[in-house]
Amino acid sequence: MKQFIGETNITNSIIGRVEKSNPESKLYYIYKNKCEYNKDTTYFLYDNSKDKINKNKNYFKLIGSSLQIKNHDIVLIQTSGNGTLLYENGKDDNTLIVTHNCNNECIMCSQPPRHEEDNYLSMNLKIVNLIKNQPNYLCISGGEPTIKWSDFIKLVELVNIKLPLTNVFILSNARVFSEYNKAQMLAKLAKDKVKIAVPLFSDTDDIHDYIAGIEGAFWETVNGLLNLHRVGISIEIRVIIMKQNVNRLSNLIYFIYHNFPFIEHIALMGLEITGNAKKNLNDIWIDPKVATSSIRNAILNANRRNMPISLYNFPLCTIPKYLWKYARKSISEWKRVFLPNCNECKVKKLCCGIFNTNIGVLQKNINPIL
Amino acid sequence: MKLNSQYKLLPFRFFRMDKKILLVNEVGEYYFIDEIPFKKLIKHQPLNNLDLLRDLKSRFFIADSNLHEYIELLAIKYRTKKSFLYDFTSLHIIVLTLRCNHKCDYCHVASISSYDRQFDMDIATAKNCVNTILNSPSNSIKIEFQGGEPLLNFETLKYIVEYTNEKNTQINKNIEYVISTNLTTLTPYQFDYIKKNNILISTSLDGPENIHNHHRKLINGKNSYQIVKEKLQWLIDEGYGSNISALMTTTSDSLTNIKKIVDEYIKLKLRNIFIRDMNYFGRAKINYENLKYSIFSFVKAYKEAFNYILELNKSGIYFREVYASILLKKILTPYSTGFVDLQSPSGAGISVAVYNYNGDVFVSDEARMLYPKGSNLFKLGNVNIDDFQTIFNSKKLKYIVSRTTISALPKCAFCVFMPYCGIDPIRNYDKYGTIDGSRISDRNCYKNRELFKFLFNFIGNNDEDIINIFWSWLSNKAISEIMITN
Repeated sequence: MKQFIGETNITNSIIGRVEKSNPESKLYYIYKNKCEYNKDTTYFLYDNSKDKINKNKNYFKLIGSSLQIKNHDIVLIQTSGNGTLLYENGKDDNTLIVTHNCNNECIMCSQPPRHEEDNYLSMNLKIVNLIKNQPNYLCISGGEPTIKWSDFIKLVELVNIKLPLTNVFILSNARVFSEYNKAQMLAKLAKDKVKIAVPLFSDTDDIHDYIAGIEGAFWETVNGLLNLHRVGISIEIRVIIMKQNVNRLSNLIYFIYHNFPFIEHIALMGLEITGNAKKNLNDIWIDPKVATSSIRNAILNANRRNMPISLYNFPLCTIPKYLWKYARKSISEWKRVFLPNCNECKVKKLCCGIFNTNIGVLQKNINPIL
Repeated sequence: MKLNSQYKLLPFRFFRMDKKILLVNEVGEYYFIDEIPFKKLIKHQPLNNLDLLRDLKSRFFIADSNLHEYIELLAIKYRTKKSFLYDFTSLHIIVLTLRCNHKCDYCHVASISSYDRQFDMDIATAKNCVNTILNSPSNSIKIEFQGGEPLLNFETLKYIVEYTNEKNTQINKNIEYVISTNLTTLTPYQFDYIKKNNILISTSLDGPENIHNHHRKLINGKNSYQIVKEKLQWLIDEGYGSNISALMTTTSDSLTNIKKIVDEYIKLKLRNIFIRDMNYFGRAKINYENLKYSIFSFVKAYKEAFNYILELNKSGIYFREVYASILLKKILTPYSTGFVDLQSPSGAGISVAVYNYNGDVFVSDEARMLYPKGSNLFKLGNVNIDDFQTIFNSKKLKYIVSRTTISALPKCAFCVFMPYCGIDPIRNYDKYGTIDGSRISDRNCYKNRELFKFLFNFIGNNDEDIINIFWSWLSNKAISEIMITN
């Protein structure tokens, strides 16, 4: 999440929504709860160094950040002056984290699970309550969001009530849904607005479990997928491509087609080299050039079977031109960079860019398309 | 890695192809394996090749753990393959009249050349047919108008369409109409009606003029081929081409001219052909001595036509052989096909029912040919007398179903193609006197086995262009939408 720092006189950390005092003014308020001015619960936000600060009132002044905080964004401000942009108004890729814990230990995880008790429920509920304009999509993720089941359900429930027009995109390994009643509970709450994206690494348990770091993970995910379908929740499968599974991508497509023909979309994804992926890079890294023929055949096999398929996180210059039409601009703006020579590239506008964490490894593969 | 050789075999059958051994499991997933690992596999010996082990697990031939999950998934896939059973009868064929303006020597339903309207379905019977049909639990109902020549009783056709649509406003089923017509008497007025109601057209074209006219003779002595051709062109020019399919009946004349027949279809801008073996019922049975040819020569001609069609597709012409598409759908996809002639248990009565002009209900078109002379085994009732329950919940129908499940029939039970195949109890009864019949030197059995082998050879060779063509037939998509050109 985007971070910023500033100067503040607050004595308790706050979560609030940024609001212009009036349409012409450059002065922003931060509303904590009710969206009306109240001298105790309203904070002044200054984002311009020339602004004159009224230090008699609660204030926060941004320093040295290029980050732009926009009207209706939701922020967390701590007494130390550290700020976090929790929710960006008008965007469809905002994510609420239920927990940083996970029941998998994936060898390529970009945000490895933290094994410590955390509690984001009240923050998440506050965020949902503060959202001004209902987004098209809101993502619920983790860690594994479903392992804190009651927090997860309370959050979905509130989104359902407060944001009836918003679709919920859940990133989950689906193992928890191997319990049918949990799938059923989610469906009862919000079947029509929920879509779930599930990582499935291989068509056999040995490879999947090795990647997921847990023995038995594969079959729980399989059962979870079946249960989610039984209750009518729509599912996308995400396949992160690495050395361990690259040679069986076509087999995986076949496996999905025959066992989960209800899958709505398959995303073949490139690694984000941070966290465990960075730690295990030598074990998992596959050069895009080497992976090309496997990816091509997997896409061909999906095409034949009318299965929608996309490529995420592959800069266009790292894959052959005939795969470009499957590549999506999948990398969030705040994680995405382009190299200086990308400015010469003809297809930069269509390109997902490069994870800022991947530059070191990918640099030699990046060549502008002229 | 926990992968090991302590595996259990899941149910499958096998067959020795030219180079490899074809394995097919209970739900129709297949795999080609070499002789040496195959011998190890059936003896439960360790398989040292990791990728082979993974392939066999992934395609449900072995399980090395989680047996419960494997069986659960197999059960789901089995139910998907047999989903036609959930739908119950969805194809309802209504014989609007026995009369026809053609007098084809191979007619399997023995039409009548008469102006006597006593062989037409009347409105009261039509109404009872619709009431019976709409009682079917299936959500998707296909009503097929047949004859004789159904256009000769167009008033009843119109009544059925209108009465069905009216009744359907309350029950909201998906209703599809098809008319099996030789097209020769089609008038602009009738076509307008067909178009307005989205009625699909299934017609007959046997090939070039000399072949077509040799067997398909108009009673008035006119040139059937010329008229069919003109009508087809008219319909295609009107933009109705994608709603038309044509069937050809293979005769001894066509066996040696099979490419010319395909060319004729292409020339007339048809997008598919169904190369059918002769069905020796009705008049074809009477004329058997004149019409007979061996199934070996049929299979040979079929393969020749098929290879030719592949070449055409490779050159960029989308053209589909329908029977191969049906078999390929069974082999390559997890779904069932809705093709009632190749089903287990047989589609007779539970997937298709035929309503004769007088309201008699039969389990298939051929079944009414066996009645009353042969047997009333296949007559389920009459819509003017019996209600839906009496007709479709009859002991007779249950008996047919119980005897036509091929996994329990000799020879079929051990055949590698069993998961894809089916049975025709009426043909069996006619030929062998029992509905389960015999597979020893049976014409249909031979044909299907040969065609399955033929298709599996292509699948095993895995030529990318050919497999793309197969999938383009299944998905109705142009190959350009499937292929990835480097």
